[in-house]
Amino acid sequence: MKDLIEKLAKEAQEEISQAGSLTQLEELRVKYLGRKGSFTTLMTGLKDIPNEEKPAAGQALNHAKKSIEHELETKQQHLEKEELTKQLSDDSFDVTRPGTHVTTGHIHPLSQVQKEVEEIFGQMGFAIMDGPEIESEHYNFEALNVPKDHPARDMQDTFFVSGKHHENHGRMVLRTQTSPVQIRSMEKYGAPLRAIMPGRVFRYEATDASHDSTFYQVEGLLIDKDVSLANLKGVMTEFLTRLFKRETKVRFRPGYFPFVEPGIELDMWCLLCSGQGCRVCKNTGWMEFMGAGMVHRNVLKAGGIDPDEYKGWAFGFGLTRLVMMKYGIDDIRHLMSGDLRFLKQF
Amino acid sequence: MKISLNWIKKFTDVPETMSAQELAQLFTIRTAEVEGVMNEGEMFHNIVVGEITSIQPHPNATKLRITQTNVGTQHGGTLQIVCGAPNITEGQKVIVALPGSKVRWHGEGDYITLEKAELRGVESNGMICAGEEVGLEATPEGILDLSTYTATKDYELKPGTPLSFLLNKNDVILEIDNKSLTHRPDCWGHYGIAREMSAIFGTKLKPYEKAVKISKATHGASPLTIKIHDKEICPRFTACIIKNINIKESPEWLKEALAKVGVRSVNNIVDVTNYVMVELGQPMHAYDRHTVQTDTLDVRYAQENEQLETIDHKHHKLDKEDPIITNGKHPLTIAGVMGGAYSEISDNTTEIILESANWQPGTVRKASQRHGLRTDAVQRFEKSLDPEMTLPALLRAIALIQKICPKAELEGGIVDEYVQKNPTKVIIVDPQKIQEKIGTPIATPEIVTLLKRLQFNVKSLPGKPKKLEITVPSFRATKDINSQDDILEEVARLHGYEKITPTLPSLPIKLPSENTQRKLEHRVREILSSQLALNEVYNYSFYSKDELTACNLPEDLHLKLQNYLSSEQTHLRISLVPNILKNLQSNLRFTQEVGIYEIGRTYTEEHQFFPREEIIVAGAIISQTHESPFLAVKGIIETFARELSLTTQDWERGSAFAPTAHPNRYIELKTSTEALENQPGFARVYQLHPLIAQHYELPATTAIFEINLTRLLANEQTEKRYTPIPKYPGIEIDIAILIDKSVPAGTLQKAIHATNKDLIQHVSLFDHYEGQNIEPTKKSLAYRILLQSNERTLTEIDLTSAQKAITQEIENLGGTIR
Repeated sequence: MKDLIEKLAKEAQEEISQAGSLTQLEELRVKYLGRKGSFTTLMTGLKDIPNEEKPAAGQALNHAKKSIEHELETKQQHLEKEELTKQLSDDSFDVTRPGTHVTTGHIHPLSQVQKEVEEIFGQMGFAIMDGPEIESEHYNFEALNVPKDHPARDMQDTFFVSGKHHENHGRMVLRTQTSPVQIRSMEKYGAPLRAIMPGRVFRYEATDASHDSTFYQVEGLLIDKDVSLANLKGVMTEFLTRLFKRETKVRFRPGYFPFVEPGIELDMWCLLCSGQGCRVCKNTGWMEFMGAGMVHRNVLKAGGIDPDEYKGWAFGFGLTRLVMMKYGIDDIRHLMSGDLRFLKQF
Repeated sequence: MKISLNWIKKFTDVPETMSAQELAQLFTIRTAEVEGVMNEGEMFHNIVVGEITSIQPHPNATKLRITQTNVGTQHGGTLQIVCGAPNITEGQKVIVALPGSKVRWHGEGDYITLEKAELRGVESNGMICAGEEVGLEATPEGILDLSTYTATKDYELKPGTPLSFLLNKNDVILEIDNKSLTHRPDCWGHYGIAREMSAIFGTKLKPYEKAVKISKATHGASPLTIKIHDKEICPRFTACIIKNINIKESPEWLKEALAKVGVRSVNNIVDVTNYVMVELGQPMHAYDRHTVQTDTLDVRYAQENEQLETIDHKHHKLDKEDPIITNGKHPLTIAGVMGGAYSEISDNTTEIILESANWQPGTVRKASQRHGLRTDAVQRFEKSLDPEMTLPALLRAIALIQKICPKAELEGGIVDEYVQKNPTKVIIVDPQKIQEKIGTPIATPEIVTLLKRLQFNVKSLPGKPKKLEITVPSFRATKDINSQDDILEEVARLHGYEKITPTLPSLPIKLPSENTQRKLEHRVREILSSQLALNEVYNYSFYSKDELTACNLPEDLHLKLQNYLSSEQTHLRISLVPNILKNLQSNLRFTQEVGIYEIGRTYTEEHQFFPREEIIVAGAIISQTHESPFLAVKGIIETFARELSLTTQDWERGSAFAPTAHPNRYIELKTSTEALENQPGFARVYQLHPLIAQHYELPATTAIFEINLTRLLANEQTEKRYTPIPKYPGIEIDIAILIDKSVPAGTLQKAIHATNKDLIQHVSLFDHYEGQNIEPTKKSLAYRILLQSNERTLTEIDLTSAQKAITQEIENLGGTIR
């Protein structure tokens, strides 16, 4: 009996190890362990052997059966794994097909850059302020130290609103600059003051690839007891370095704006050559960026701030121009065109 | 304004070691922007005088010959140069282009850079040039023989002499940006620029009178009488009479000097006045004494009905605020603006009245604007010129005229009506304050030195803190120097703005408050673009009358532009919609699916001075794929409200004025506050009015939304709150209902919900069907209903009783469960 069991077990082990598929393995399970399987038959045959041999034979048989079951289980796992591997490698799914298109919207480049500018100045403690787009001559010119008939008024061709005149305000204009917000902020908050004022401005001038009647500016203002030109240089260097994400330098040169004294033109390192000099910057290494200066006494007075106690600086740059420089846009008119072929690029 | 560097050098020294580019850069950061630098000599770089010492035949070519040409030791002595011209001879002085120079082959095509070459196997180290090859007049006979060309000029033809030197082309022309001189009346002539350069370099400035060698004025009796009737328009009038004038073409030197700085030559007298203007900055005018008919000139405002033909032959009707000069009978010039044709210098002129006057800037400027005459004189007078200049200018002009017309002589002396002399300007400054405001240490002695270089008189005042008393020179006292801050600018720019070290200001103790409006605008963009796939557009703030009419917008709510750039842009917008419609129209040329919005201001006339400015978000959807653009837009607003956690009411049929809306497909959404206060809703959604859609050639289904952000900001927004996730499972039931078309889906939905507010958590419509297999008056609506309790797991009984109540309610409303 014992020999028979051993022989059968060996034979079973052999066949299991050679089974090539799950079907074959199932056949072997039936052959050896099924209801009419070899071991089942042997089990039935136990009743015919002498009693004293029964325990030993039963034990051997059970042991052999368990071992076969284990072999079957191991082999099955092995075959299943093999089958899965085969199945996965035979997969015909085409991973090179394009990804499913997800429709997204686009935020206008002016809004994107404006937000960035607001965030950078926000981190430097500047508030974001706002004022009306329809202004009076008082706020747009007089309060900013640009008296009537001053040649500086020529520098900014103005849109006037028909039939609107006010005793104290003069004519109604579309603001030509964000600077009137300086006065309004001073009136409202007094000193000290630290704010930027981004917004839409208007110029009555013919439109071409680099001029539009409507564009965006950012005005900045810092008023305190202890403020210097060195701070202005520091703040602008920091701002431009953060905005363009690389080292940037600024330089001052004399300029004229009636609302500041001294008036300064601020140039920044040429974006293309970083100050080395190239064709774009006419070999100077610099690009014109904005007007700035120390706030004129008369402007502080107009804003209700004592110019003997406080001083400040102000600046103004073209957000639209900045956007054009940042993205290499060659025609300003795209920005106001509403053309989705343009807008979807941002 | 063009400035000749050679002209500047008559008045001050400019460092020889500095290149023109460096000089331009330095002037830009110290005084005013130099927009361009033109180096006259650059064209002739590496082109020099050569002397042919020997000529040999070329072994391989009959037309070519081999020369040995001396080009001076500085250029390598004697060089071998191959030449094909027939007219070369030994000992001839010629023009040699050396390698690196720019020449044009046979005077045609572009300039090319010359290189060393081998011509038929023989090395050639340059080129002997024909006139046209270096941009001079053509020499068809062959090369240019310098001995004949320069016969009239007294130059020594030494080998190696640069051609530019020979041709007197060694000047540098600086183009200065006029705008950056707006506040510098003293810089509108070469002398003023020279004065700035002397301050920049610390070099000596020659006094004008000495530099140009003019004598003191002779104040003998003049036959001329100047009557200034309106004193405010003419602070000073200096003039004289010169006779024995011979009007002719100006001499070469004068024509050349003017041409360099861009002034056209007219005749010797006019050219002299212009020369003095570009030299000293003082505009002048010359009259023909005979046509003036009198020696008495009147200065006054024009009277109504007076007229003048100016020298450009335009007729002007004069205004009573125009400053004029008359001969007692009729106007001769618009003072400071332009002379009259009547008394202008002609070929027959023999005697002139020469005027050098100072005019009130505002008056001149207004007259110039009124008559559209923007002359060189206006450009200068409007800046507030120094009245001290009139006399030296006149003296200089007299001297120049006498040089050109040797017989010319003054008749009598000079008339000088100096009616308004500017008082001496004195400013007291605190050097410590100047330093602080610049933010960089500048010692007081340096401040004093810098100011003295600019010809300010500086005196230290006794006492503490130490202060300086500064006397402003007359040429700076007319306009731009008035206060300590103006002195500060002079110190800062001459010291050098580049020497200021950038420093960050310390952070304020109190950080600024947030701008909630800006924050909301940016948030709205994130929701609409990033989440809801719309594209942001920017539009102009104006539209046309046609547009507002087409959109049914009432014209009387609009502000109108007095001056506009095009008839498309005459009215200020009270709605963003018209321009959005134009965006839709133009994009439809390229795509079928458009989803856009704009955040912008509207300006509504409210009959106070300032209009009401509101921030509006307006958007639109055109779509072929959406079942209903209207519902798509409605969904956008619902998501928008949810994202901003607004407590809103249910949608209502629109009742506020909405001229662009389809009257029956227009709904509004209100916040609780708006509903409570019976205000219009912050948001509206509608289908475009069919007539407007037709006008803009847009699909009838075009759907619009408008959100009033200004109003939304005024209302409170709530924060998002967490609600616990349900612990017990819910049951979803779907029911399809057949009901009359007149019953709105919203009513049914609310009715279902109301049957069991405790258990019904959510009712949503997932299908809407009308058409085949259904009675024509009916529609089929399918709802998914979620039953769920926070306290227990629902039972079969809960479900059946809920269903029963729902069925009952539907039947009450006239519907049947399908």
